[in-house]
Amino acid sequence: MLNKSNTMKIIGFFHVLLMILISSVVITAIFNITLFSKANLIETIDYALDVTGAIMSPVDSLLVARIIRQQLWQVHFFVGVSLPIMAAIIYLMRQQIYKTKQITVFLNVSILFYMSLVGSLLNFRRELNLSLDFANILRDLHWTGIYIFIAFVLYHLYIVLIKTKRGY
Amino acid sequence: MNNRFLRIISLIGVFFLSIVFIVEYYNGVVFNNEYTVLQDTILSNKINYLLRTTLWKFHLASGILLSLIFVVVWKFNKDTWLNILFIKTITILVISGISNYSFENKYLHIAHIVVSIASIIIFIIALAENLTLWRRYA
Repeated sequence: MLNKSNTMKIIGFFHVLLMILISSVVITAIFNITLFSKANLIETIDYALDVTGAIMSPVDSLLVARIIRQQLWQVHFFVGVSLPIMAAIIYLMRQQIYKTKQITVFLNVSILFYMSLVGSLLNFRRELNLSLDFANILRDLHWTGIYIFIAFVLYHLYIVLIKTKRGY
Repeated sequence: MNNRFLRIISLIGVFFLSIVFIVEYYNGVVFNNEYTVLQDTILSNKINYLLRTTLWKFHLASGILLSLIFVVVWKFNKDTWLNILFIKTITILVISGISNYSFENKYLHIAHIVVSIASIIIFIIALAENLTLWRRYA
């Protein structure tokens, strides 16, 4: 049976792990949007075509770029779906210790669940035969979730800094 | 003041650490040497090489910035044998990494991998030693 002290240590460990996973999700998304955007990848492919002397139509270049991007998004997807599970573990453990409703943590878990659900639907849009319009709506919903999550993280950091200032 | 400063740079450190690991995963698993996006091997290798090179630059930059953060954190911490060992390992890790990036030598690459595994183990031990401190962050 875990005592309070040990449970707090485990929560601390999961919290650090959650922080690393969130950073990983953010970084994969930033990489895929900027460095490996379709335009950038097509530019890379065109450069490789020039160097090797091979010929490819622009449509094929776009297709290759999409294949590469798909593999990169897989990392974002797998790390992303593990986030709500990790957050839920933290929430349940904290609830056991404090015996009160952890509203902020619960909200965080809810946002992460919402994000991973919408993200999963986006990831499997071809397998689920979702229309392009619906996929675009899902993409917008995913982006909205990102803004909410950023607001939550900023609020969380603000509280941590306030507590540090007060020497808590 | 120091406590708050350390928290902020630790957060930035986690961000760089994630970049280092994500790039390692992308280049080691996704764009490894056997990765072929096209049947044309020469063209495929060229695309692969270009993508890998771009990513390695991020790995290098983030690794160097992360090591600088480690040095700053170490300066604020106690001079225990574990901390000194960790900072020495990180120094070797950075030197072998930069050398490997510049000269692309097989032995430098192996040395970089061995030292990185050692530094991860030391880092985990150091974290486990400070587990009680984590209560404040939980």
